Amino acid sequence: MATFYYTKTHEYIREDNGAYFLGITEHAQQELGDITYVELPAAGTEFAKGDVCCTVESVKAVAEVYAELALKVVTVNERLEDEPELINQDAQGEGWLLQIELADAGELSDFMDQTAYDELEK
Amino acid sequence: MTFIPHTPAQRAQMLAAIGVDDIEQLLDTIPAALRLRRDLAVPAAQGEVELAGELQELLVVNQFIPPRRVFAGGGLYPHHVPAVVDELSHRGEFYTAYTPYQPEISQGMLQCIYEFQSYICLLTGMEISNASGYDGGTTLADAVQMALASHRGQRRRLIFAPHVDPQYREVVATYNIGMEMDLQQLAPVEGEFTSADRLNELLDDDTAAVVFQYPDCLGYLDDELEMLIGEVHRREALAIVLFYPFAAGLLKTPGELGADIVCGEAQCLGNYMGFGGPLLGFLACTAKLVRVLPGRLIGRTICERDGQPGAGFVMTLQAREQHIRRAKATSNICSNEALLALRACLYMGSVGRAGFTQLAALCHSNACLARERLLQIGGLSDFYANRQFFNEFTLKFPPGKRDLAYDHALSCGMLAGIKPDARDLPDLDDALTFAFTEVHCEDDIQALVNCLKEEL
Repeated sequence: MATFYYTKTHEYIREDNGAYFLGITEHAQQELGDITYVELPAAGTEFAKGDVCCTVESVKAVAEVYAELALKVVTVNERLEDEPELINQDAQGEGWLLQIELADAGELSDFMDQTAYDELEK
Repeated sequence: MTFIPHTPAQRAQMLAAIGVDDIEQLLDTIPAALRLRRDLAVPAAQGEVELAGELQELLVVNQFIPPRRVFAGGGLYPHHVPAVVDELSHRGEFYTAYTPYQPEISQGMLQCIYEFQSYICLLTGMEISNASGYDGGTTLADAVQMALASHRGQRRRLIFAPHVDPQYREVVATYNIGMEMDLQQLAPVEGEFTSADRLNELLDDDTAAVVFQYPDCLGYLDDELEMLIGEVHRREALAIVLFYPFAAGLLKTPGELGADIVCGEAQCLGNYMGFGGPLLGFLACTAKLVRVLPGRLIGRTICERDGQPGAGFVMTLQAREQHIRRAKATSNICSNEALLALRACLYMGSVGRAGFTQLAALCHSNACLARERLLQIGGLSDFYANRQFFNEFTLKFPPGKRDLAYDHALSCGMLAGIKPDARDLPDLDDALTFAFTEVHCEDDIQALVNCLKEEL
């Protein structure tokens, strides 16, 4: 069973059997519209809290995706190179951006859970 | 319609609207000591006949050197411009076109830019070219920004290989001021090409790119460029090659040597030297770098015309950074030079593939002939012996003789090369860099040789 942690800037971190995935939320996907291009970092790149780790470009805007905690990129979702629309189709599933390692999983306690994020949406 | 803004009546109206009596009152806040309080020292207006007479007097003072007696290059070259280029590029449809990106009214101009991009890709061996830039120097500065952006600001070092034109280096430094670059210059070692070891002394994990000039600013070709580019790639840095596109008629393209970005000056393709402008920059790269390429990319697409399948031209990509995320743009200009790009297309179309190769071969053989004859004059020697060149090379003069010879040639109506910038190698103070093209014939070359001989 996957657990989601959310940020105010509409990123999520999904915990899935001990693995962590970073992406943009279903809400962010809807706001951006058709995604046309995703710029991803190289595997192995480390980001500090607050760094821009990816860029998502849609027909309407360019959005920066932030690392809201210190992380290291394990692998990137290479399917997005040819199928950026995966983010529109399944933002919090197949449309993940990065698989990551966390420097300190304890930092996730600063994130919102599903209920708190749903509350923010309203 | 009047072209003179602010008539006295309008000024009075504007002053009344803000409640000020006259302009003087408006300027009250400027300290009196800072006011000029007199008219600018500009001559009075003249009648048309008077003015034309005065300008003619000024014109006859100009010293005109015909292209055949210009033996100087350094970025701009006296190539022949076929009459068809002037004739067609002066057509009103092209001459007055401005911001021609609306596909429904600009098919001709868009097709021309598309073809320009195609020619640049062929000449550079790159996959992608933009719609052109202002000049060679600014396209190099843009290429550097591309390299920094492609590393997402994680790498700051930029290395210049030996003999990249110092003026281009200055453009990179001033245009990109504030980019926090770590500019490094690999010093030339007399008589030696750059070795991998020497390059690797500067090349580190903070290096975003290494800039090479090919042929270099003294005219020479580094036989080992391909190997050096391999070294650059080994450190995951980019290789930027500043290229003279005419050389593509004979040499391997920078793309074949492994370059990631190729830029430079395309004045040589159907454009005049002018007074150093207007010029035509080009910027090309691998498909991988298309997202950081500044400017516009015109594409060919399939469309329906009168119910039949056909082709049309549209603006396919312009990274939106240049408009809405300007801090992330990879150019401070993001414009093109469409009229001169059109002339380059007309030029390439008129000389054709075989013609272009023949012209390049002629440039080279003229340069070889000139070098041979110049070296027969006692006292002149190759600046770098045993180096290959395309149409430009550098000769050393006996101490103190260089300027005398240059000035004497000028008094004979010849531009005997250019004086290379000596800041990297003081020995260049006694050298001249000569360039030859298809416009020079044996008589021109002999005239240069005879003239220089008189001073040596």
